[in-house]
Amino acid sequence: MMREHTKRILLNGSILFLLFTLLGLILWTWFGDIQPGSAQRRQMISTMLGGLFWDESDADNLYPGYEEYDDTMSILSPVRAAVQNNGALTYLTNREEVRDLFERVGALLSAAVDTDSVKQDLNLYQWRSILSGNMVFFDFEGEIPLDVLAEVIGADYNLGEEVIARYLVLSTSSDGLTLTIFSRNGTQTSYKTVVSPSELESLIREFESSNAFFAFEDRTLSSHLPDEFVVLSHREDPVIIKKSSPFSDYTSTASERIINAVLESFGYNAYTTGGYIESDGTRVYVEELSTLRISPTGALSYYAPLPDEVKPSAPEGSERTSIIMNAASMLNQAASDYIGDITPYVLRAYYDEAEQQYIVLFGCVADGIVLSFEDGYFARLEYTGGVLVGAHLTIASYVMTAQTDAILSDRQIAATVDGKCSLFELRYIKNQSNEYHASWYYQKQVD
Amino acid sequence: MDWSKAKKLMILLLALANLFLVGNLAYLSYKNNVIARETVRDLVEYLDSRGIKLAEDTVPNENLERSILVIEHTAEADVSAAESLLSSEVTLSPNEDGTYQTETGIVNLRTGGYLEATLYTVRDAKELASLFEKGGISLWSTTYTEDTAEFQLSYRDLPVFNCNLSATQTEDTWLVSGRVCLGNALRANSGYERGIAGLIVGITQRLVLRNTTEIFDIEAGWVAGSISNVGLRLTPVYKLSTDSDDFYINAVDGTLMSVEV
Repeated sequence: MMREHTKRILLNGSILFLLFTLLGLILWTWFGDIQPGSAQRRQMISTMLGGLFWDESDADNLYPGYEEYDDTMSILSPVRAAVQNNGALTYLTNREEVRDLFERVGALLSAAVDTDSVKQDLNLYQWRSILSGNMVFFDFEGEIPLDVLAEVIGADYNLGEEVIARYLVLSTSSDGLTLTIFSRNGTQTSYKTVVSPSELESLIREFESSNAFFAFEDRTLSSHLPDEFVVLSHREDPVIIKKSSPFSDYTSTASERIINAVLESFGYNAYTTGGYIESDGTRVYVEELSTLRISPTGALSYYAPLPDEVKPSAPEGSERTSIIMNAASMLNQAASDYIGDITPYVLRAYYDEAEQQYIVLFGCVADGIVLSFEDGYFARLEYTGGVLVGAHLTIASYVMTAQTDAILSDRQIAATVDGKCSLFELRYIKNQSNEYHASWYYQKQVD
Repeated sequence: MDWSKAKKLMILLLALANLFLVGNLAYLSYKNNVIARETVRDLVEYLDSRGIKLAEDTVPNENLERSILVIEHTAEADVSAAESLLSSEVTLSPNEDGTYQTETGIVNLRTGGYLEATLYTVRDAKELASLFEKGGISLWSTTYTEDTAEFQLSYRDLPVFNCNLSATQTEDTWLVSGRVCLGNALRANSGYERGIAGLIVGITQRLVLRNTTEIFDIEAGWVAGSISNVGLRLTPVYKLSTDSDDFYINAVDGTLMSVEV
């Protein structure tokens, strides 16, 4: 009797042991690191079980749309920045450093556009006085609507009027934080707030070294160059940028991956969309009624018919913000796989009355230097009633080489300019060999 | 019904199923190793055909399957770090500008993880290192001299390439400044890291144009960036040390990151 009892326990115990082992082996096969994609499977199960077994929370739960924010911010962030600390000016042209600085002052900028402020139109001397004091200076190169920027960083926009910024300055004073905007039409407006300047003061104190000064601070240069032009104590020779086609210069796998990323960013399913190739080598993808064409040179054009229910009208407020965010996010997703060492920025966003379209144009910079394109823009996205109806861009890779161009110094080139310039900067211009070389570009001020 | 026989049959079936799964795991493991070795060999040949040398054993053979992390800034993490550095049991409350002050020193923690501290009671760099670890600031490497110290920070056992702390001693005071990663980690849905071989192939043309002829080392790590009103973003990267420059490849989207260290 006792023997029977022991035997039964042994049998039941063995079954239990084997069942647990089986379960363990199944879990190991599916969720262990032995097969690729195990992290995705773990995440999927974790999501299904409400995060029961994995403690890593999803950023999207706390910050909905974080990925879109990240894509948008990488394009909407300024292209250059400078920090003035007791007369020492530190100039930054590395886009990631500039973005980092911009995001660090994001909370202060949010507070500045959100709180009540005293508006003042500045004259030239007041503007220079702000640039000479302790401040953080951002250069967007293009035109950024401030309400759009505010919405992207999660701020309530209470400045009332529409403000389009080329430069944005956050400065400190005894009363509080001052936000100053230099608009594209050349007017400077300050908004004095009661936001505590202590955090900005701490940040500014980090920048002790001086590598630059504003042109207006030098008597000779101020008569030739725009006030806001930053003169570097030592300017490195700019590198040559090589433009290449992902279709002729890349492996076929890389080209396919690039095309898939582009298709997905335009809302196509890369695995089900059946494309065809025309006699001249143009790839054509059609889904429903929208058509995407990619020529052998990489020129991309996209057309989508306007849905019947959409009525063309000039977008305002949140619709305009949503269009610019969508355009920036989409371009970043499409281009990040091939673009190389240059980064896009918003050149201009405007409503075309004749075409009844809202147009978003993008330019590009490499280490703070603008690239010139034949069409005047790097990418053009067209919206009607908030719907993307057209897009034009070139799929090409722009890579910094080890070669550099010798250029005249800021002082030397300024000496050759007769009179005052309204625009003065280094620009990359393409030559016949698909190489971009940096050279000085200026426009004289019209009196 | 003979339950004993049924149970024995069940044991046999379960044992067979277990055996099958063990065999399957062994086969998958073997197959993965073979594929990984072939991929590395193909990568080395591909690079060699473009004039770049790379030793096979330099290539990491495991995909870490990391994703971009959002490090949400929390006052608790700041307080914990500040308490540790100041060796004070007093509950601290932050001023408007993130400054914590006691008799033993001042700690200032700002947006983006930037830290400045003046510490009066720390004896040497080793004690400083232990205070960092105690306060939740993980260190990857340290370099000491008598009155200076450089700390490279780590996150989840990998270096954060652009998070460093510098410390200098003047008389009895240690001055510390740099960047730390403190707060709750949240996973972003931007995807998982790609295989290292594909990432390197994706930037080969750029390596060639920068006159790279040899890759000495490949190291997995993170690069930190600020996020407005939130805290930090940690991007998984691979650092390629080459004879022309150091390249930081974003392991999720394959782009090259410009990193100031």
